[in-house]
Amino acid sequence: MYKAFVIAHNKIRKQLRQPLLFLVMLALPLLFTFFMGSMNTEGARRIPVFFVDNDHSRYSQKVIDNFKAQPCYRVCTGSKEEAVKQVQDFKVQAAFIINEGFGEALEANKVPRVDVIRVRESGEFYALTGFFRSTVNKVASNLKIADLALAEISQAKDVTGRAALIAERAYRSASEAWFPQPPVGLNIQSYSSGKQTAAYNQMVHAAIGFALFFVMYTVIFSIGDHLEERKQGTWQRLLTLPVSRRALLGGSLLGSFTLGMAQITLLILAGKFLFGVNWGANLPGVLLVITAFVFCATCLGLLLSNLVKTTAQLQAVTPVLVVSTSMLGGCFWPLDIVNVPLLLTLARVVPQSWAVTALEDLVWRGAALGSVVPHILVLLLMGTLFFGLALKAMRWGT
Amino acid sequence: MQTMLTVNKLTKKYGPQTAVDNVSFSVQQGEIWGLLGPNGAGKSTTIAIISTLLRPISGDVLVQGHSVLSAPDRVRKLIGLVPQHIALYPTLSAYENLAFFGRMYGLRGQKLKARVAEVLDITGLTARAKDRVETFSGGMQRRLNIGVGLMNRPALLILDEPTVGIDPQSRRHILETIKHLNASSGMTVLYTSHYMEEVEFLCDRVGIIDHGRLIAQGTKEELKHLVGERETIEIRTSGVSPAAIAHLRQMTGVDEVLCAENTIKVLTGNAGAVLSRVVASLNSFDCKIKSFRIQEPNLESVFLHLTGKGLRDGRMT
Repeated sequence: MYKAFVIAHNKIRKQLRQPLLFLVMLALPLLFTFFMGSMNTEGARRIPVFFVDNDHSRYSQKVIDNFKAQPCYRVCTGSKEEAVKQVQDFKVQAAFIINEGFGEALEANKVPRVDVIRVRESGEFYALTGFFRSTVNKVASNLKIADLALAEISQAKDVTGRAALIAERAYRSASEAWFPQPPVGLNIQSYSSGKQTAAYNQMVHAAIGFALFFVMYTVIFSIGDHLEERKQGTWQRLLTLPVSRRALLGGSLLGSFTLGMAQITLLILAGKFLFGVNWGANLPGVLLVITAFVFCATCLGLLLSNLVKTTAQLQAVTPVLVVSTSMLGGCFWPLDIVNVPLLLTLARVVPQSWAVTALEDLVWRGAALGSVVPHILVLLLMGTLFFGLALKAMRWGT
Repeated sequence: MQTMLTVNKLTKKYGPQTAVDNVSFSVQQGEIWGLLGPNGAGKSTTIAIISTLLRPISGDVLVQGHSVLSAPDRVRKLIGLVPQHIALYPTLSAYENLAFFGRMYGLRGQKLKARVAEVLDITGLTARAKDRVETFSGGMQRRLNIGVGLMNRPALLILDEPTVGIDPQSRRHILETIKHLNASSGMTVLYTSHYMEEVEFLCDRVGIIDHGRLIAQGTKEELKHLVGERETIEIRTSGVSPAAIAHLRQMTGVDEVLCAENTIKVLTGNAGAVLSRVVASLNSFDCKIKSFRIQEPNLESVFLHLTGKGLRDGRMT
């Protein structure tokens, strides 16, 4: 154990003696966070919303169709059970349960009751409920106007010369048909963890995404340092000393892991104090997710550095792998805006997607630690798998 | 005298190529044993197996009775390896390098500090202890490279061509340091080189290796006896014709003639008697003689005699 710590310390000391890479990997994510976080990409982001239609009336259908026609909403429909799960899994912003009798109530100028399930209070949520109210109002009014107009026209045998009068009468009739305000009452049930959360903004996403993206470079190149050690002969020399391979590998992993954790901790602090990034109220949860991710990335680096033969090859392969998996995993843009099923499926096999989702759930959806435990376990499992494969591919000797 | 190292029928192959072919020798405690051979002869592979870095396909190595196959950890505690290439951390200081490797040998606290100071003194680097290795000259790096191998006071110090690419002054310092370590502490040394002079200066007994096979071993005198009383006339010319070489080979009193890169080596039992005829013959073939010297039997001529080539010249015709 002592020797593993000495090896880890040596790795960190070597890295700090050549601080350029570490500093670049610290400065770049901050710059990217600043520039990307300052961009307004809200227009591109579609808010997911769920509908349960238990009424199946033309009123309920028109309301859902109206939402579907909006570019800023992504509409899902299904049962109440599905709605609850989607909300609890933070897949949708809120779910509207349109109960039976919704249409009849509107016909009879009564206020229908609609149940709403939400994650937490937010500006987006209130905008959503406001839009729902106005949509119901609009749909109901339009339908009544259409009915009244149809009735007027049907009654008229000859409208020649009386068109203006008919229009005026229809207008008056429609005006009389309007509801008292508000047109709909909402029963709101909260499913949040009760903790204070950060409001979503692009800066938070950029801070999370770029921190994860750049820490991968640090740990992969750090663990890949054994390729350089092989070149300079120190690796072979260590193998002739009374040092177990377990200590050699453990020390190497520990050193790279510590560097990765140090970098991401500095990025969290810099994000908070330089750009005012709110990392939410569940900091222990955030740290656990990050720890699992850095472990996973370190093991991936170990595997990668054992699949190549030289540092130059590692330098060529790493950017391709890290950039492509980070794009898939939602480091650069929210996965909410991705609607290609194949890409979403592929996203589930890269560690970044699990880390980004877990961190966003914790930071701005106010998820409890329990809800990101599966994400942490997946990251640890992936790390263990990479580690096992790396051991298989490991070339110990000359 | 106890046996420190026993190499028994060692064989190692890389694909179809045999790097070490059935090599056997033993090194007694307190002696300096030299493994002499040209580049690619199998010296480094033999050293890699002895130092537990490679596994042989057959045979075994025992260090103080401990097998590299069944007890590599015990062997690692007994040996100190000085690899051919400088295996140091260039961005760390000399002190940090020694301390790191010392910790790997299990040294800590005052013991570690004392040993680092001692090794810095042995290698003559005390004044530069805090300087980064990357600022050192090649010779200083070589000395520190040896210093790392001394950190655990090894029972067997293994040096694999430790003087490659350094200036004569540093080479002299290294050779004298090794000689002093052996004389003062009785440290057993296994030394490989393709420099005949180094092996001749340092070693009590020598093994000659070529194409992975140990072709001769014994004391320097025993090996020289293989050549007999023959001397070598080494002649540098401006150019050599095959006809001239053929003529020399026919000459009475000439045992062997070897030639490479305008250098002719004539092995003879009586250099004084044949020298004038050799010079006359070369002149008759318009081979302009630049210089010549007569050498007493040495390891170079032994190697030449056994393999038909020079240690550093490659194959001779």
